[in-house]
Amino acid sequence: MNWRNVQLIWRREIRDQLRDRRTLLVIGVLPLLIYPMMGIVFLRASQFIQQHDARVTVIGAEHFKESGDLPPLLEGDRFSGALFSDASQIDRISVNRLPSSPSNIKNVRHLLAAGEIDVVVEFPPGFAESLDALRQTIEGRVGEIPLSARPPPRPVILYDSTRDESKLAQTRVQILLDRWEGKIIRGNLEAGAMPIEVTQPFVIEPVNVATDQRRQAVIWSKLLPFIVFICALTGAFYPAVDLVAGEKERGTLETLLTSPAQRNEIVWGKLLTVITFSIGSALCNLGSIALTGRLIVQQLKSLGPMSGVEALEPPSLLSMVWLLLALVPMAALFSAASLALAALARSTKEGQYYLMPMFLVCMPLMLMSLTPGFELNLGTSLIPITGMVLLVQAAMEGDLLLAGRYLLPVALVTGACGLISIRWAVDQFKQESILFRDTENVGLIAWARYAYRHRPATPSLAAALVCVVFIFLSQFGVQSLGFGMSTTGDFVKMVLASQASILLPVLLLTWLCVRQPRRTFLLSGSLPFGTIALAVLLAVALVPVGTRLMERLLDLFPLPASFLEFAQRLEESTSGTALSLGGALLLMAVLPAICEELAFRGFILSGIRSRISVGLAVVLSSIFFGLAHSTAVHQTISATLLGLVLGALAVKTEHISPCIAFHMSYNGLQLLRSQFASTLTDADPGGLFFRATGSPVVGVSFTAPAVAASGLVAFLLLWQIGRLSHWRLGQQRPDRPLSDITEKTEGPHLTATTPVEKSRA
Amino acid sequence: MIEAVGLTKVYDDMKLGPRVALDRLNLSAEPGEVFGLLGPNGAGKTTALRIFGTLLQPTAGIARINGFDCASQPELVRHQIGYISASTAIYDRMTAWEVVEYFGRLHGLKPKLLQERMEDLFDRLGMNDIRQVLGGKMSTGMKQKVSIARALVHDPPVLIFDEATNGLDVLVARSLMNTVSELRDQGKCIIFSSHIMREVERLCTRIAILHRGRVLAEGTITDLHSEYGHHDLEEFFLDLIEQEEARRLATSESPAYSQGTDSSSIVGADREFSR
Repeated sequence: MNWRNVQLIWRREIRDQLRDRRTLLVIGVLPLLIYPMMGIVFLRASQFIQQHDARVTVIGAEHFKESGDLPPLLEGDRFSGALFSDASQIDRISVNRLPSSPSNIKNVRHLLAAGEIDVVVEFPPGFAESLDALRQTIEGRVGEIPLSARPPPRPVILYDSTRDESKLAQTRVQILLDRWEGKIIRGNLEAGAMPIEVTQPFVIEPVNVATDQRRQAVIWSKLLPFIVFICALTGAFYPAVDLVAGEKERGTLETLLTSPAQRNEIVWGKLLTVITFSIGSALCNLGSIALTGRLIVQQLKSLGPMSGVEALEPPSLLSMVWLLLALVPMAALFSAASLALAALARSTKEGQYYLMPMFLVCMPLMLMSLTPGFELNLGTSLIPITGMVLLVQAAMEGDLLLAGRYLLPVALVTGACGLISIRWAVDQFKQESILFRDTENVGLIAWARYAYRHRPATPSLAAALVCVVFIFLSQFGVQSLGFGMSTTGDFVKMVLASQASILLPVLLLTWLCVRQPRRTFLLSGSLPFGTIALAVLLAVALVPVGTRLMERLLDLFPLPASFLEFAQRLEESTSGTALSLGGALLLMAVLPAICEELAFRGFILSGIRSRISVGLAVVLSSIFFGLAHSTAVHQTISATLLGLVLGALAVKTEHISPCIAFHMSYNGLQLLRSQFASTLTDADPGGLFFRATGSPVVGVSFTAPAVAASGLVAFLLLWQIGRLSHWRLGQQRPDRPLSDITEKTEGPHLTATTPVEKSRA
Repeated sequence: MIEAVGLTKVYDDMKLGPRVALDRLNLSAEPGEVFGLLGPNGAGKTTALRIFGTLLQPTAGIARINGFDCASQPELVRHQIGYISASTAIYDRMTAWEVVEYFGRLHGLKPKLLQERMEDLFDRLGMNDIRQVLGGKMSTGMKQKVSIARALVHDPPVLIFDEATNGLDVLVARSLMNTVSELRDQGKCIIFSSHIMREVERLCTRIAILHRGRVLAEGTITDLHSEYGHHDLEEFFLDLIEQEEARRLATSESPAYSQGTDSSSIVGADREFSR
């Protein structure tokens, strides 16, 4: 790849976009306008809350005017100044008094509905008498008050919830009435010579141990990554659509494709442009938010004391550095995905339709990090986007140790997703369909027929990935069935269902997407008995190493209590006489070996190999294999590593049988090890090889010499298997899937007879 | 030079099935020659030229430009050609000067050489007054001039003009034809497709008449006149097409838009070859 060309294309595209008013509007001008506008609306609302004068009508105030014992509620046409904490607010509530009568009550309801007044407070006849009677009782016969015999009088506040002014006034009047009530209670207690503590025997004082700085950091870490990443997403999408779909529409893509720039140079040039705009958009938004936020806080402070606002300080410089560092890979990921999606579109209009699905995928992944209790751990760090959001949250909160621990998995997942998207985009640019794609005229049924008629011999990469998704979804479905695990029958059902959840998607996709199932599942040719024997020996040699590894992993990633409980129930349901050893071996060794190997080394590995180099394909298929064993972290890691061995066996032998033999032997031996744990360590020579561990999950493990010896044997066997291709020269590797007819063929080899001649023959 | 041997392109349409757009095209053109591809719409001219322009991959056969294979050496081929078609637009938000400079730099020209070439091209094509005009503000004729300058900036030995006069008025079309003549006289090897007889007659030293992807006749215009006894190219062209249609009917040959059983055999044959 010529980076000079990439730079040329990048610079041209940047200049082109900067000359496009629409892009500038969406990326630059809109954020600069929208936040100040939102700020103004917010400020207006605050001003309204602060400055609106409430109009209150009080009916029936005459009932307690003469009563000397009650603290004053009203003074002239205002509420009593003693009820206000801030004297400047006294004149903000005007009071109109009306005598209690049915006609007045009817009239004020009309006035309230018409918006003439904001709130009506109606004191019922006998309100003051009722309070007086209570006071006298307290003063006279304290000990004989029947506590529930006297229903309290019920004044009414009328308000209109559909009008903001009315709602606001109601809140303010309610506060004043509550304070008045407090004063009455205090008076009553004093009259009865009771201490105030009667109403409040104790006071709970919540003490927040989090420092102000940390509280602020947590608020910003929840808010800012979300806003910034959303802006990066929208900032990437619009230029991506213009750069690819727009160019197709304007006819300039054909011009560019005839230039000497290679397809991947074009994609990288465009990708860098989209990344630039994505980051630019996020920074514009961030800057605009910062500026608006600052102005609003200043304005609010000038309006009056508001503790909540005063407490919120700007985020620290270091946290902004973390955010900006995370922005770069996120912008790259969003840009690559947008570019690949935009390459699918034939026109700008069609491209914009793809924005919504992209949002629907990305938004939940970003929002997931805001779910309470959703924390950064190995599992969550492997979720694309979510992992990065959690990582940057941890860094912004100052928890660098946690962030550092999961930096690698997050970086790997983000990088892998980005590279897959870039690869997809480059692939699309290499296809003729980049110029002639005609999506709008093709019906779904026509496409399905076409795809079925032209299905390749072995699965495509897309079919393999769809298969992985189907397996994960059906595994999720089976898990949510919730097997009781109280009897052996439950256990059998669970194993059968989980294996079916792997095998059925594979069989369905094989039927739909593949012409040669035997080649797909590596079943062609005779059984390689020698290799099968090697695979069994390898399994025997790897059991001690695998067990020791499991021990170490359990030290690193302790199991949660729920898993231990599950393992306990599993053991209970399988122990006893109901399930014989043969049955257990069948269920836990033979069945998984067949189903999982057909799926992961058969369909999925064949599909991935069709487009990706063998080494990477083995790694990817083993990661999927590991993720399919996601009950616990140690299982996922162990399965991934075993997946590498199984993948190597598959590509070296080109037959599934050694993989099945290895898988069956390994699972079987592990089952036997746990079943005969007690006899293994007790037996006379057993002590040389086996040792008991305290762990209920591991049971019996192996001694260091046994692990070293078996490790050496395993290494030798693997080396031997690595040389297998020399042994089996006669057997060919399955061809890459035959592409459809429009894909490229090698011209010079095709000159003998043209297809047309052949067809006529 | 330009060379095609048994060049075949089959499109696989989802609804219509496989469609033979180009059927065993053989041609060769030398430097200083304009080779004309003449044919009605849908004859396969653009498909052939897009294969030479490395935009399409042939299903079978060879296409070579100056000895480089268009299918397997596309980057080298693109340095050898200047490709101009009705659908190769120029950027709306770039000036004429910027467009030509951009493609010159993509071709790896040194700044000094590029500057000289551009000055020369802008003079020759009479484009000095539109140097700073944005593509979006240009007339169709101006755009076509910029396209030509863009295709000539790296001084390629081979030029491909695909229906380049489409949509141009008489004056601009005439000016383009003059430019092509000049380029031919400078020793460029040119392949020129059109459905307009007069253009081909005026410019081309040799022509091939394409219909439904197949070559119906090929040779110099004089040879064709004498062989088929027509002095008017248009009459001769129409006669050829009529004869071809009659032959198809008589032999009940399936049309190029192959459907049904015929199509599957084409696909199968091609798959065999792909291996």
